[in-house]
Amino acid sequence: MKTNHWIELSKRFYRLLLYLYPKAYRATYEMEMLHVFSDQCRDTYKQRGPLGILLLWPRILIDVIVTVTTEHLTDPHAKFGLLEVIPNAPLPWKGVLLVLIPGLIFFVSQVEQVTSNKDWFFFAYYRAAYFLILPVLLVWVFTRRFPVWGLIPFGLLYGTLRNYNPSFLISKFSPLNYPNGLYLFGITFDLVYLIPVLICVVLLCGLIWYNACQQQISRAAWGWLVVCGLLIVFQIIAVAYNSTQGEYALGTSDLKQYIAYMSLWYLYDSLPFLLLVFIGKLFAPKYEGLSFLILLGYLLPTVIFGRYGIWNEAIPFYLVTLAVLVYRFVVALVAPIWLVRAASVPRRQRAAAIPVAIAIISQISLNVLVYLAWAVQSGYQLSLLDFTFPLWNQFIIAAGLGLAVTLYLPTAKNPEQTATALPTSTAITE
Amino acid sequence: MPRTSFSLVPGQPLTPAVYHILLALVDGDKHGYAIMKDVEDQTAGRIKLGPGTLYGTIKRLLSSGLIIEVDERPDPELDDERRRYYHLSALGHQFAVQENQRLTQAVKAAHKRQLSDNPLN
Repeated sequence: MKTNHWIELSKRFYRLLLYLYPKAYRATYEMEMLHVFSDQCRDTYKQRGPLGILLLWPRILIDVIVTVTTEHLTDPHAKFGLLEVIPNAPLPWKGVLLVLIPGLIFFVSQVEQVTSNKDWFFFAYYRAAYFLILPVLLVWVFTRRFPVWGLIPFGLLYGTLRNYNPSFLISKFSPLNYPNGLYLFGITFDLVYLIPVLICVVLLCGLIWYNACQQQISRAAWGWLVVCGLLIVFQIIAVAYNSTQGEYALGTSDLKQYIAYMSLWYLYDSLPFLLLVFIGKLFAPKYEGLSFLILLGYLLPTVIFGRYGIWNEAIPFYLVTLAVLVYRFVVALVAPIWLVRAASVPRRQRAAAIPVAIAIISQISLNVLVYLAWAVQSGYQLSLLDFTFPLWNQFIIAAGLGLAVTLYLPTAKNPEQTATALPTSTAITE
Repeated sequence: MPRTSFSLVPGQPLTPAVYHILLALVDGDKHGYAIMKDVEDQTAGRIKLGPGTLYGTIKRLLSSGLIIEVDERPDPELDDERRRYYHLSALGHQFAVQENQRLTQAVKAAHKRQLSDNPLN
């Protein structure tokens, strides 16, 4: 075969570039690729001489960069990338770190928050959610598949957007800002809450209807959904009842206004979470119990108590610290590890339910402590009903988690359902 | 670089690289470089696959059963035995036919609307 130093040099360099591909891929295709490249060089040289070889290289380099990235992302043995979930098998340890990165960032920032006066953690809280989703989106665009380690950043971003963005965005959009709400039945509804609540209601109803049509909602799931609905209704009734016992007289427009405002506020607190539970269901055919990671991402930034606040004068600071750290530790680190390492359906059920139950208990105790401390400090006469408010959202979250367990996981009696539902990943990507 | 992502749902569009590789194998088994040259010929040089794109796509086509690797060589004396040959499977043929129908339909629709590359026509 006629050859020259241009071709030989190119082949030698291309052989080096092939080391960038994953090992398994290289073992199968290295010789073939080298062969093809060699043929390509020979033909190009024959047609256009050394200039042809020089012009060939930019194209080859782009090809190498794109395909090396894709092969690493989609390699089942890769340390990074999609980390395809195998039915009824734990996620490999090498992938666990990727799943834990958002939790680690939040946990470390929380430790910093409660142990020092530095405020860099604010940056982590408010910015991490936006930045952590970027690699996930990159992988998604490249591979057309959503990676399992993207579930926590997805929930985190959703939670952060729910917390801070609607009021910010809506208040910036002047047509919605004027005339400062929607006036209906003698009540002004705050658009900052009304719009997101209506969007949630429409999307939630749509997803429930879709899943019901697909017969994806079991009897237990319907039960949990009813419990969630009842808790939300009781929460609003309790708000209404409590307001009639206080400063507002029955039948006054002020009372109506207060009830409307608080109802929207509480609906805005709970409906996005239920919506996220059903969004997680969209991931369940591929990730089944691991879809629960979305909810853990959502729960990550829910408690921001620290050194600051009136309660610090009434309750020992170490109690707050302890409760916050337990909560963060469980939600950010223990629960994800337990989930992604659990191999069977019953284990994943336990992994989904127990750590979050512990986290909720620690959050409830913290809320009660803080509420009590505030009451003691301010001299407020507490009634039993008062206690329901700090706890109610936790009950709704707990019921939502129950709903998620029944929605995402196949029943333990029928675990083979998982195997058929899981990666028939049809998207083939390069 | 041609986009090569595709979904294995019958009737769904294939990416250009996948379609042209399947098309290259319709008239007989070929090795990698022959496929590459064929794709270039089919597209009048508009799609030039690099070795990475070619074998990445071949890997996925093999794993999804659209093509298969064959041991037989068309003429072992004329060819390097180290080369691997690929054969279009029945499933791959079905996908190529479906994509062909889709493209034909698109061209018909374009003709119907008198779409031309010359804006004065």
